[in-house]
Amino acid sequence: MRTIAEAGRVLGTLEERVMQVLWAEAAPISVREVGDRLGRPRLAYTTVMTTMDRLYRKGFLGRDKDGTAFLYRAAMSRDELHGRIVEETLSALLAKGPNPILAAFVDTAANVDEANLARLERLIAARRRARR
Amino acid sequence: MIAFASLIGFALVFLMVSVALSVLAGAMVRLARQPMQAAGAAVERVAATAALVLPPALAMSVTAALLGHSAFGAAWGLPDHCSQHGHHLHLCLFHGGSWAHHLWAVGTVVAAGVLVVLRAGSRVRRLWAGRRLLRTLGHVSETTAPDGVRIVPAQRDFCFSAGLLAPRIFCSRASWDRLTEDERAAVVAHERAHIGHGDLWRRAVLGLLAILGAPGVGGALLGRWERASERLCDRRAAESVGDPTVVARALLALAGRQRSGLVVGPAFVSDGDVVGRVEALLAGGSDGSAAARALGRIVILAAVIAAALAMAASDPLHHGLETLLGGF
Repeated sequence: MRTIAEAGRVLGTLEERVMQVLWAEAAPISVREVGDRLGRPRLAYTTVMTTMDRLYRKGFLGRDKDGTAFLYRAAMSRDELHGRIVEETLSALLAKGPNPILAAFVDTAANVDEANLARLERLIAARRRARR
Repeated sequence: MIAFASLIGFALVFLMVSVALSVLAGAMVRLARQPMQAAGAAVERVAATAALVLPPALAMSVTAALLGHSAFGAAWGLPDHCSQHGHHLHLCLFHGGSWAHHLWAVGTVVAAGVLVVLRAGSRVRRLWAGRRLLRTLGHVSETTAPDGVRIVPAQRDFCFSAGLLAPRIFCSRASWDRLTEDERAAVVAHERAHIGHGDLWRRAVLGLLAILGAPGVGGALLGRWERASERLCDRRAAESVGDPTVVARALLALAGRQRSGLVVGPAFVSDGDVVGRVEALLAGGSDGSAAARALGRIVILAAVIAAALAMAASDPLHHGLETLLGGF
């Protein structure tokens, strides 16, 4: 499985690294602690803070006030995030009518009524019996 | 010295011929619907393709013939008649500047141009966005050997082929696990047939050409092409798995789940055709491939003859269209 960042620009590179740090932590941690764990000394505190605030606004992080600072935690697991990426991608791809880039086996709008379904199933069964 | 405003007149000719021919082609396909359906999906597909491609292609031929007549008429030994008819507008690159003074002509060309650009832009934007989304889907999915189908970890039900240049088959884990082994093979064979026929890029091109026809006609023809393509791929899938009832079962399996609100995903065709597709599969008969090849040759020949006639008759065509447009 590839990385989340490769998986469709839902997260940027730094955002993904922040998520990885928080997924590895059992307890909520501060922006400074995340910055330390990222292992990039030249990364400004404000850059990490802005990134984490953005992740919080996207719903990927949760946070609680601890004195004057916030303590952050991952709001969803890696698998949940993948699920969300898939759902958002499918919604964008499928929700706005037939996308000219794809051809599906069965139309979404197909609404075969019960009577027709039953009739066709009987036809198929009869045909299969005849083939034997 | 070329008068660029004269291009308004040539643009009007293209527009008029393309729209008129698309109306005619649409009507012919509509009238011949039943015999074409009886002849097979391949015939219906070729007819719809011709009805979408020929109007703009022939309009382009006529416009090119008129442009050639105007640009090289003197070199071809044709008399310059422009000085003889001051009574109406000229389809002439050198004397056609007066088109700019006719609001109806400028308005029609500008409105049509804006409409075409907006509609084409919208289609291209969707294709571009779709390409990015497919890349994402490709990254979060897994490939199953030996089918090369990409399984997307999703609880929704869907199976589709997607992508213009390097199409791939995507199926949700939910659908893949629910289908039986032979139903999976049928679905994969159907999608592979789409890829083998080049349906995805053909559809994109036809969608753009449909914009150049009369409003409503292009969409209807594209719908007919899509319906025929689905049926043709059903037939190919049936040939591949050796049993049309397997394809029919797979169709009903997914349509049935859709009814219970499980299946999500658009297709080439709308609802009722699941019934039509299953009935067509069970009815058997020819898919009309041989007749379609013959029809294709006839259409190409007719198009070449029509284009050659337009070139050969550029002089009377020029006068006729000039008089027609000048009469407004």
